Amino acid sequence: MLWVGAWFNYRGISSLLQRSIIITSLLILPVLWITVYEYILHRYPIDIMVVFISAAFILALLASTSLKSENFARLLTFVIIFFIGFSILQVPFGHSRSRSFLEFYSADDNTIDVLFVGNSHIEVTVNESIVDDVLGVNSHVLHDGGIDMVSAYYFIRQSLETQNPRLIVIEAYPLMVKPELSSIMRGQGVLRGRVAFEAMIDRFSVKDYSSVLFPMLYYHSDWALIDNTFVSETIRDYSYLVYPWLTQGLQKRLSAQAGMVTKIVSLEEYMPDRELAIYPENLVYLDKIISLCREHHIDLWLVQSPYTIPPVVDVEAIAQARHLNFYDYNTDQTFNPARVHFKDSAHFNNIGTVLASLRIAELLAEPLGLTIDKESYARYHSVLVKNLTIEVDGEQITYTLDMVEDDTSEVEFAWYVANRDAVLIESPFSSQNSITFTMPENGQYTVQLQIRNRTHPEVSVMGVLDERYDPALAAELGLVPQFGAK
Amino acid sequence: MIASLHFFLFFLLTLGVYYALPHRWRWLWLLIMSYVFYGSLSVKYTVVLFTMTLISYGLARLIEAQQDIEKKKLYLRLGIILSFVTLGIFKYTGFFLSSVNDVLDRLGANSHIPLPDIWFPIGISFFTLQIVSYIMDVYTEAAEAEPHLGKYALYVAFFPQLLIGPIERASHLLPQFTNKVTFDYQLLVEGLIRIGWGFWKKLVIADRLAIVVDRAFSDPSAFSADKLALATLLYSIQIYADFSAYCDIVIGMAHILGIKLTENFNHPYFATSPIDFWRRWHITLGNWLRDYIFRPLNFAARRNFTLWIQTRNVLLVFLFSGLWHGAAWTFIIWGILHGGYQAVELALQRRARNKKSKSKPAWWKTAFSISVTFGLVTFAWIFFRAESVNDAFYIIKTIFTWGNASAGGSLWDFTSAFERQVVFLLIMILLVIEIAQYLSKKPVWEFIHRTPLTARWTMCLILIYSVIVFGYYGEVDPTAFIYAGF
Amino acid sequence: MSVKDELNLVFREVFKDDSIEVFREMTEIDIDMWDSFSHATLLMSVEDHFDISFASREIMNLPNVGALMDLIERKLAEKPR
Repeated sequence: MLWVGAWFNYRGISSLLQRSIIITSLLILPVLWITVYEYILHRYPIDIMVVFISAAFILALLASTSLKSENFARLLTFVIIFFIGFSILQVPFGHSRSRSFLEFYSADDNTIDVLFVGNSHIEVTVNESIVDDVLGVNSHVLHDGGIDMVSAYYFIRQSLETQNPRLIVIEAYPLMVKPELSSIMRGQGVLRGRVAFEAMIDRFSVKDYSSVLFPMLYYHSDWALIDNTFVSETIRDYSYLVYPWLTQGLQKRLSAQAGMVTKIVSLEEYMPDRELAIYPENLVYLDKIISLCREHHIDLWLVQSPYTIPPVVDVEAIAQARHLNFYDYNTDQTFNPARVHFKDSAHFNNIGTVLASLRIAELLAEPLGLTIDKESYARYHSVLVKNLTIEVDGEQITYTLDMVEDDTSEVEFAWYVANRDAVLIESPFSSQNSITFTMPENGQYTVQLQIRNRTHPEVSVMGVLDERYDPALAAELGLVPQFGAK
Repeated sequence: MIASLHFFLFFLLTLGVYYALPHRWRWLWLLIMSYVFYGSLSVKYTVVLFTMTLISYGLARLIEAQQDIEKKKLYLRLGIILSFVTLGIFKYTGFFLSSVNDVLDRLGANSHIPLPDIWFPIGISFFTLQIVSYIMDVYTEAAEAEPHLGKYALYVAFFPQLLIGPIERASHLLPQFTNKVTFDYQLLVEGLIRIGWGFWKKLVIADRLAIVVDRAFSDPSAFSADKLALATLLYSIQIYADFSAYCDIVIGMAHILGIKLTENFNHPYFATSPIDFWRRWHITLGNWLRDYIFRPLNFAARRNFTLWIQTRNVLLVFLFSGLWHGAAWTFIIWGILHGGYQAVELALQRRARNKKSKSKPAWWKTAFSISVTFGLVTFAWIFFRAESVNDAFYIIKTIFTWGNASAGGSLWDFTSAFERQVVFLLIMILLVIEIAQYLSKKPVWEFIHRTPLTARWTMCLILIYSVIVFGYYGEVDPTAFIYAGF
Repeated sequence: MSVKDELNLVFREVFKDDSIEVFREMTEIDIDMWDSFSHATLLMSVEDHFDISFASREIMNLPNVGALMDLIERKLAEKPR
């Protein structure tokens, strides 16, 4: 109907120039936009097409009636400049700067042998450089915070566009993530091109397309978090340890619960807003992943990261029903009693990551037909921690480490006690495997530890041992401080 | 509904077709789109709108055709009563019945009148005034009864100003639907810049402040005096930014359609007295009250015009105004407060009338008057915003006794220091622009429009991008203008 | 004296300002002191001066001074001599 209206007026136009501008703009500019988007910004062309075509249509309608061609051209130029600027603005807001994906996209085609896929749990369970060193492969952890199994499916689809891995390991936690807008947006943000487009059509309702197409519209409040991510830099060497997503999330949680004594709580208590259940949609997509891997002759493994509490969901049954290779960290007694390996109830700290990465390397050696490099294995093994004891004597607190290897002459330790603003106590690298200190005043403190190999200082781990500790309150309640789990 | 991308696209579509259509059909297009817009909120609203339109249309024709003054008067009264009774049923039934229940409570009665579930056709307060104004104008022969039902229906329903005004008089708006309008590129650009500025005020300032203000007013007892004082001050800014933004958007839209709507604001916070304030704030409502209530009241009492009569008339008008704004005691007190300000000012003026000097007052006197007026207006806003009269008195008591210092409520919960600084900066930018507009007597969109191309485009781009980046459009419904509730 | 000149006298009297010169398009914006109260006083003075009487429906349709002049002229014409 609109076209008819436009056409009647259109016929009245005398200027050939005007007519040609309209037609060219309608035909050429979308093509131009596709090019800009696809090849420069790696986003999907559809967004710009929809918006641009509707804008061009409206402009054309106006132009066909009474807009002078000079003004029309001017308006059009403005719109183009606007969209170029707007597209550039998507970059800092687009949440596609995940380190994991940037590295993935910059890798050469068909060079990745082993792919680990999942959310934050796989991120803290596998350190790819350890796996690479020990096994002599090229592995990559493809993750984004809080994604569900549907996103994991699209991650694998995306990886198959350029890579041809021999083996894929998925972590099971995405099965328990509710597929809701916040998690699917995150999973969507790292995808590109064809897969991104397909995922958008598959996963989002039409009203959410604008958020997908212009992530800035969805993440528009993120500028406010800028200083939150900077906070972590005040504590040295923190950057690798605490990933920005975790700092943001936890700091909010911490301020909401300030004043609590550190204690072990159940996972449900820790994440009251999560329903821990397996969402049917996730299972459907797990099956899709399985058939996708079969199609590409990829060996598929399902692993479950550990929790400091018993697992709530029986993932093993799911794996068995599908004849999947399965490994559960929770069944391994090395991890469970040693809270020194965790930074919260379900995430390893760096110390735990080393242990868990060595474990996965051992596990995958056979299916990949590879042998473990003894020398590098020993180097990583030297920094492994078995346990930690805390003694409280009045105001004095002593942390003592218990290493996996009896001979600790190969490693040295540095200790830090920090509050949110600054590092308060610092003991430089030494052979001291314990620290004794007095809390300067009541409040929340973080105890951090760095262990490194003397001859290979690049083999170094750092762990947050206790995120919050209020000695006065603990004494009042007669609690022995625990650490790691909240 | 107004400051949303969807409404803007709706407007663009309306615009494109509007100018593509031959002139004689444009009113029909606007009417269809107006009803589509209103119907998109709820179809049943359009039934109310159409019925009221039809009745007033018929009565106006009857009034005009009738020769006998008494019969004219009869129809006029019928029209006014029908309009206000309809408004009353939708708006005041709940308030009235709950007040009756309160009285029953006091009397110790056990039975309560059940509150019926009445929906509220948004915008009814505004188009009722417009309908009454039309009938009155036909009666006083200030306007002719519109013979064309369609155009009259458009006068009542014209979509930019349907929900929140400006309240237009028939003699001003109706002829414009018949005027031959040709598309003007300058109008388009000017209008778009004004719309952009409106979006900026609404999404960047008003909605962001709304979070803080809502937090304080929803639970005043949780906040100390300084926080409540700050929230009250911020509310003054919020309501101005909100309502004037709305007017900028709709007047800008009408401007592009070649229809001139009446300005509703004239730098209200630069008013030097309460009377001056009401000449600058919600001007069309002030004019309505003046023309249809205040002047007739004063005229009727002209022969024995005492201070008491004068005071009574002012209070009556503002009591009406308060009630019109909302069915609650808070609005009534707000109205009476403003009536009181004006009555006092008038009484003082009466005394000073003879020695009024003609020279311009010194700048510091003006600045002082502006500050005092702003203080009085802000004080009255406490009642306007508070959830109950008790809350309002509590807030005032706390602020003036500087009490409740121990309350730990934070206005900016979960927002970072950086965000607070940015919000502060944005408010400062608004302040600077407002002062510049006031001093130069030139609105900002006109200023932008007249700068050279490069500067103009840069400013426009900054404006749009800052709306997108800094605009607050999460969580709360961004489209809800404060004044849409009235 | 024309209606306009006489009306000018009334305006000067009511607003206590001898510099006032009325014109047809004049509205309350043009005179500082012209508010809703002096409006009533003004109409009353006009009534007294010309010895006519306005109905309230007539005074509600006075967008400017011109309309007031027309109204006065109409009233004077209707007046029985």
